[in-house]
Amino acid sequence: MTRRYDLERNLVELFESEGRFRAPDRVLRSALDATAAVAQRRSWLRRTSRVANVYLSAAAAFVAIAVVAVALALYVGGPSVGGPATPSPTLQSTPAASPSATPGGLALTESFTSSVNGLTVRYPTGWDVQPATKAWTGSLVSQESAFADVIAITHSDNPFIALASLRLAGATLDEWSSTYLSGHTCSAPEPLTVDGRDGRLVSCEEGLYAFATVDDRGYLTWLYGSDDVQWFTQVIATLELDPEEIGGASPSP
Amino acid sequence: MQTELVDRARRGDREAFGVLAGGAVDRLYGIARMILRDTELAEDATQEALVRAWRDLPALRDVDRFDAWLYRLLVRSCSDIGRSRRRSRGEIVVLHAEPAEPDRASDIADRDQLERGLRRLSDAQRTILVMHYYLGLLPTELAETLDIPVGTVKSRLHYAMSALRAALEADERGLIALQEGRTA
Repeated sequence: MTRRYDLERNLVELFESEGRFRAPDRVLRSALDATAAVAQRRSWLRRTSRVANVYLSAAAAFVAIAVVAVALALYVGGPSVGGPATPSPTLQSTPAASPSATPGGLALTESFTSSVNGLTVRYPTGWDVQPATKAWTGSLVSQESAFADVIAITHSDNPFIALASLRLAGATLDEWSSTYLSGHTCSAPEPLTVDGRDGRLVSCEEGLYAFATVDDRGYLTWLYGSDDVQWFTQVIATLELDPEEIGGASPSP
Repeated sequence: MQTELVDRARRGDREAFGVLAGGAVDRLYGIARMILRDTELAEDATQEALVRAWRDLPALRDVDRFDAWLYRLLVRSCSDIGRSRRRSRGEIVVLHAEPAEPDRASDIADRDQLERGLRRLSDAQRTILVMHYYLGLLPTELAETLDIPVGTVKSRLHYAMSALRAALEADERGLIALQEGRTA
């Protein structure tokens, strides 16, 4: 026992003596020089969705002006007295947005089924799927997590969608979601329906989260690097949660 | 103060990042030395981690966890550099600790023996020992920082200490055999 503590003590002492060393000045200088040539990675989807919002706003303004112009034209140049009644033109209603259209134009055309996490989800063309290879035990999900199905834009670190599921061991939806996000800067959870089940939508600094439970299994969906709630809820609307499929056939993109 | 700097740097303020990097560089370099047991590679790993930090700062989820995030980047850099070292170089520059106070001969012997033992471990094993025994991170914090399950952290710690103990015992047996050879 004493030997064990001696070894630990010696190790701490060695590390502490090594921790006193200062880095040569060139280390900081070279690092800062190198950063001068490196651009920071920004969230692509957040940027594009903001750009898209600008275009959408402009389009909405154009439509409003057009409606007013048509109404004025009808009012000013209305049917002449005694003349033949002209059929009043009816405004064509604006076509409803396609269910899979997104502000960023990212249609959810592809489908992925995960046998590790027991779910199916749709995602945009051109995004890569990195299927989960092992079960999730509850640690924080990242883009590199082997327990998460990660769907990301090719050739880019962000944004990405990460999906994972685990047994909750009796925890409720709210207990689980608040524990998972403890320490994060997030808005209050909002109710959300995921594949017909009660869920929670939470907006955090780093992106959007959806939590849902099926029996004792918790499902997490995380859109990293975007605050586009509209698009995220479209992704969530495609989710099918099927815990009974866990351990079944291998994942299929 | 740091939170504000991180927030500014995250928005592209190079001056704020310079202050943050200046405040962290010695700490990062010290940790990289402990993990890689090589001064030149430690310099490379520190620079690499700082460049990655600048590049990826906008993706930092929680500015209050900047330090933990930075350690994670450093561990990644050490891992990458350690991997390329194994591919390209056979030898490493051995560290010679120069403590502020003079040591007793036995302490120096212990230190050298420990140094040899540590060099026999993998980078991953040294990483877990440094983060636990030097940074004082608990298994749960280690799990979060290294993005591995708590169970894996505990087993890695256990195996790293066992491997170190075994390396020290082998070293001791070698020294005894050498001494016996000399006296015979």
